[in-house]
Amino acid sequence: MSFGGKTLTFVQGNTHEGMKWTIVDEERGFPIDITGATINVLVQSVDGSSTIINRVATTITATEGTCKLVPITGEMNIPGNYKVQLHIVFPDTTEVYVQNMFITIVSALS
Amino acid sequence: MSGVSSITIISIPDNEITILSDTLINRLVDITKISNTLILVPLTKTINSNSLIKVLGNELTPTSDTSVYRSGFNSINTTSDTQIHREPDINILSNSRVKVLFEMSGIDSDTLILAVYDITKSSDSAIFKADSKIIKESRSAIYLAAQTKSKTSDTRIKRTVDLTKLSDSSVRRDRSNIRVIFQKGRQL
Repeated sequence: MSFGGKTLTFVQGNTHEGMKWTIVDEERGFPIDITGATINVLVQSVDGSSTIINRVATTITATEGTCKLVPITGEMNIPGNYKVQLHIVFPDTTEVYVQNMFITIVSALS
Repeated sequence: MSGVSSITIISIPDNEITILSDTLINRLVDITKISNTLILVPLTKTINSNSLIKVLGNELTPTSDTSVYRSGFNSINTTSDTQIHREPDINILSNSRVKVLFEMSGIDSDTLILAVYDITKSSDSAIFKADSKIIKESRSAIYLAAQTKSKTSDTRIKRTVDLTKLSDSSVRRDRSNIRVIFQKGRQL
């Protein structure tokens, strides 16, 4: 299924595979230094009825603009289609919302 | 009314000012000869320079690219590429420049700036000063006003307070849009 943005698929109950984001200056193509920035990840069902993740991402390498979020037990328990939002607050208090990202949680085959 | 004369000749008919040459200025009512090259003095206006100034009633009319003018109150007229000014009272500050005070309106030229309220002569090549607003106007220098202004050279003027970028050189821009690469994986 396509939602018009990048869609990643995870297996129900997954706590090993995480999501990674690389934040780049669109015009210059350079990574944006996210030192001191706070990046909150919100994962919500596509109809907005339920939220399965709402917490701060972990910075991987700030100067390379990379961060991640590895799901913990219980967060990816319900199969379905979800939309993902990043809310980035830079140290100078400017903030950016990034959307158009999706995940699909599927049941494991048995 | 008394007549005055200089090296050249000036005639002063009732309430009229007549320019008689490129080196003379004149005006009515009482006229006082100041030198062999200058003449002036009217009632409310005082002007003088070795260049030209002409005064008719409440109006100053530019007479050359190196002169100063004035017209009524509250309005400033640009008359040349080298000078601009205006005001109620005009004070002569040197033999080569005249300036003005009081209100300042927009003006501009490629080389000079204008002013307001007090005017201070600082050199033979530039005039500045202002209070209130100043407006940028040149490719070689930017000036502005509002408070303190310091003349730093004959070609540049330094100023304080707000500065507004008006030239073609650089402009600082904010962060551009961001793009996010979204991936998944183990051992991130």
